Amino acid sequence: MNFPRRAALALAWVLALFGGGCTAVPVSPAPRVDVTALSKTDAERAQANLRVFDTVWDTVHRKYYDPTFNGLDWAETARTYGPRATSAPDSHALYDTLNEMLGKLADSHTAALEPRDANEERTGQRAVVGLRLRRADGHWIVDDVDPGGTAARAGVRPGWIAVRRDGVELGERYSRPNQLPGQVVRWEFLTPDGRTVVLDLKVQPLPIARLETHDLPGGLVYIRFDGFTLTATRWLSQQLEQHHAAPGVVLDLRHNSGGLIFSALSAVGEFFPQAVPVIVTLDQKGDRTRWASFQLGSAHYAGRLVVLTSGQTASAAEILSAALQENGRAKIVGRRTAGALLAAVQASLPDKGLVQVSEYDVITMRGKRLEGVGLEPDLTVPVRTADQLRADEDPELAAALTLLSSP
Amino acid sequence: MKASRLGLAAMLLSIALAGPGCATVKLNVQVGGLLVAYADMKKGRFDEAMKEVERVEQRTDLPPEVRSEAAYVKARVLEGQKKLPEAIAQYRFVVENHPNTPDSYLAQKRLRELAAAPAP
Repeated sequence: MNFPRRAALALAWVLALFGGGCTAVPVSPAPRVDVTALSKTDAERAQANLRVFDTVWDTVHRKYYDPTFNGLDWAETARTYGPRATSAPDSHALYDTLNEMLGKLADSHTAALEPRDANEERTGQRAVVGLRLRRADGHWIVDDVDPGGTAARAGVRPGWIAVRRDGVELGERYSRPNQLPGQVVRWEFLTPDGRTVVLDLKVQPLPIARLETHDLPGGLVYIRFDGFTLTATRWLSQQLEQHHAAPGVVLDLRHNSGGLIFSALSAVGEFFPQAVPVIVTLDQKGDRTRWASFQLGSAHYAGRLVVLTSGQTASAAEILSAALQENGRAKIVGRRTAGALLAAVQASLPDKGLVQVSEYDVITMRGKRLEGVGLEPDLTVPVRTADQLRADEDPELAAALTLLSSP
Repeated sequence: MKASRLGLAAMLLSIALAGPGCATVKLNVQVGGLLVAYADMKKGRFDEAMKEVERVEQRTDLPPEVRSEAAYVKARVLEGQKKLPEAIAQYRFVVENHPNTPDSYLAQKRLRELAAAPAP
């Protein structure tokens, strides 16, 4: 697992403008390496690993929002994990160790991203074939197909069962493996009529934040965006401006795993005539900041609004959902959100990886801490069954339409 | 001292003016008094901090989120002044009078911490 836990899903709610750089050479209580007994290559690797480890440990030490470190003796973790990280034979093993250590903090956002994943974060693109899988009834079901991906072009449909990737059966704990743009991956699917379909799908870079809009009956509008990037929220604003007269909007955040705080605050601002308080953040020293929505250039959309959520709705997407719900601006339809809401800051590592550290706890303006809990929808709709996926039925969207059509 | 407070207020005002509208300006200026209180607390000047909080509390045009924050900050200042019974009473006041706010959440958390702390 190179991309850990919910942190991977949550993408990170990054306070990018806050930086995260270090002013001093980072150091940890991890034992130093005696390189004299090692070959030149091993000694160089060990020292490089230790530099990465020190940076990760030190950043958490100085910045982590919880001064108790989830009850851990943080210095002791360095003594436990430092030697393992130092002797890691490759980048993958190093990051596995780092994430095992960070996992002890048990939060949704703190993680180390190895250089490949860090590069995806920086570019906002991911090397994929455009499939989203969900585990249900002992199978990996195709839950969503990105229209821009090679899987869609090859005819893969939601509801199909993904069976094998490059000849290897998908295990119970499947996660996206290392893959590079241009690489061809052989996928094997089972279709609803019992056929086995084998497709060679080319991996290509796709935007992490998928954007989609279309008209719905009754002049209503469907808007989906999967991440809070500056591009995505600018696009959202343009869509709302364009559909300013629409009587209602369905905002689909079911696949939205978060992003930038400033984008989230801008997105909140799109739906209010004036600034509203959105969240309170607290840092390691207990210093608090109240964040209000940004209204500058906002579309001020005033029509009715329903937000679709799921267990993948995380981080900044939970902020937007909570702000709309708490202010009575929208009904939330779907399922409880991920409960992955802390504010993290990313810092570069010496090997071009990233460490992402939760520097701020987050409380909504109604006094809710959503981390580990999630946001309860106003109307719960069960997750789509495989049959509903195959039949292209969307009960959550149907429920949203009913709500928007009622007086 | 006054100069630094004026500077802080001016800075807040300029930040607010860079924002979108009157509502934001108003919000930030009101928080200004609390920010001064926070600054005083950091320097251990709890009596000064209390004066700032009380000045904010006296305003009649506070939005609810600022009023609840002021009540919570007052409890923190009382703790700083080593007036623990008064601080606990103030935390309870926040919980009872400002439910469903970040301050209610924080006051409840602090009450739990104080209850779990060993007796002095």
